[in-house]
Amino acid sequence: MLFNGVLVGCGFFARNHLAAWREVPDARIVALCDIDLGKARALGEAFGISRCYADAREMADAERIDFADIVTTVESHRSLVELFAARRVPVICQKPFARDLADGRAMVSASARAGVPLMVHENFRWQSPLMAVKAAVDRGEIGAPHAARISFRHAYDIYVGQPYLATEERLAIMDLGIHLLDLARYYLGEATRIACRTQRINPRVRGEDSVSILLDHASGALSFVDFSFFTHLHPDPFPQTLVRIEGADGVVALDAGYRLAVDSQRGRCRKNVEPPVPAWGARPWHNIQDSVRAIHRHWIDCLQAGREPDTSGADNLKTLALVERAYESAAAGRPLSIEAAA
Amino acid sequence: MTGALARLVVEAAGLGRLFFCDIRIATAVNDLEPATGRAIALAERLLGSLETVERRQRPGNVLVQALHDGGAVAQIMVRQAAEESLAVELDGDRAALRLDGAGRLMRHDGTSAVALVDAGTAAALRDFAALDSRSAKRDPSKPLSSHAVDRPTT
Repeated sequence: MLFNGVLVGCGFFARNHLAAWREVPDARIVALCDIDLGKARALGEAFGISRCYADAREMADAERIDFADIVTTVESHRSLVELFAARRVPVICQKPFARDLADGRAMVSASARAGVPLMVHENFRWQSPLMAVKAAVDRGEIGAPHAARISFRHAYDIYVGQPYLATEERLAIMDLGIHLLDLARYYLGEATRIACRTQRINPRVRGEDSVSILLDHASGALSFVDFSFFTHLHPDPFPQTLVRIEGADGVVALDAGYRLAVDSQRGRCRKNVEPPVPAWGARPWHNIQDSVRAIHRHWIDCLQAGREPDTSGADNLKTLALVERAYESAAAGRPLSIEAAA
Repeated sequence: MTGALARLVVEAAGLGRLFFCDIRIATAVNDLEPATGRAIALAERLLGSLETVERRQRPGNVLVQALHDGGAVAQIMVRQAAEESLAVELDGDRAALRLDGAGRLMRHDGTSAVALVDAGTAAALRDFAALDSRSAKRDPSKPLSSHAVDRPTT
């Protein structure tokens, strides 16, 4: 079956989505929408998509579609998800999924009532180097995980491509931390307690740009999640996530340069796990670009099989709950417990 | 302190406003308290006096998240392991220092990275072992913050 989709939001990241859709042979994007019709038309011209709209409702009514790919910023997610759910259209939605848990729950409910799948574009879980770490853990190479550090520190000028970030009151946790907290769940299971400290280092930005989070996991494992947008390294590792997981029988680490190291009772293993650069991509974004292709593939596989995506809206509520509690913990200056999000 | 750790402390002064420190220790000793105390002492040499905010322990691991009253954060991970190692990350708003597990200290400023010391793992560990954990302003085994929690998580 060939799945016909529409894409809403023709800004910074949409080009990656459209290029990656071209690598999924059983899916195609048939129409584009942006409130700035000129943006939609420019992107449509670049990707050979002639039907462009400035109004998502008009597009949803006019097009015969199997799914919608929402690549807008968070403010419009709820209205768009509900718009498509009302027409029983499955949705894949960019992160951050929702401004708050109430909006997230509303979107999950709307899709559930309509009986259509809803997936969050949580692409970090689909980055092949990070999947290699998970595979090593799942193979039992380090035994049961006890402690971890998930780190993303850089000074890459993210404000050039996404200038709105500089004025966001909620910056680093909402933009990046959300991915890393999702990874902490992915590697160590659900968290039960969070202690978060935030700082604003770059005087040109409004929100927090350096964060340290300590998590207790239900499994008994512990983890640090730390990230900074003002760490001056050379070469700058952006956009690499560095991971270290310590287990009962060894350690797996993903270091800068996509170097995977496993030290265990079975011995030492060193491997370069750098993902390929897509024909349409470029360094240093190739890690993310490759993951967009992978998450698109997963979405279509799930639509075909009728199964829930790994990063479903319902699953992402748990990550959103961590984000909210991180901000609350930072504001309160103390650790907070994590309640069930659903 | 001599060698890599002494240089680390000296160079820290040239990084601008310090805002983050991460210290990772693997120690062969079953009792993790001495290494935890030394790591806190090292963090205080780098950032200034710390309030121990959060401390977690489980068999074989201690994690500490500590805060300087100027806002800087220290993360400390201590692990019991047959093979000992030490790694330190220190971020300032102008430059950063990285001491890797092989005892190499590098200074980064975003456009270049300069090797400052290449002492080897054993020398860095000797430096660390020579730290006096009692120099830490806080007793590492007792969280003193009113918000502190000290509970085993196993």
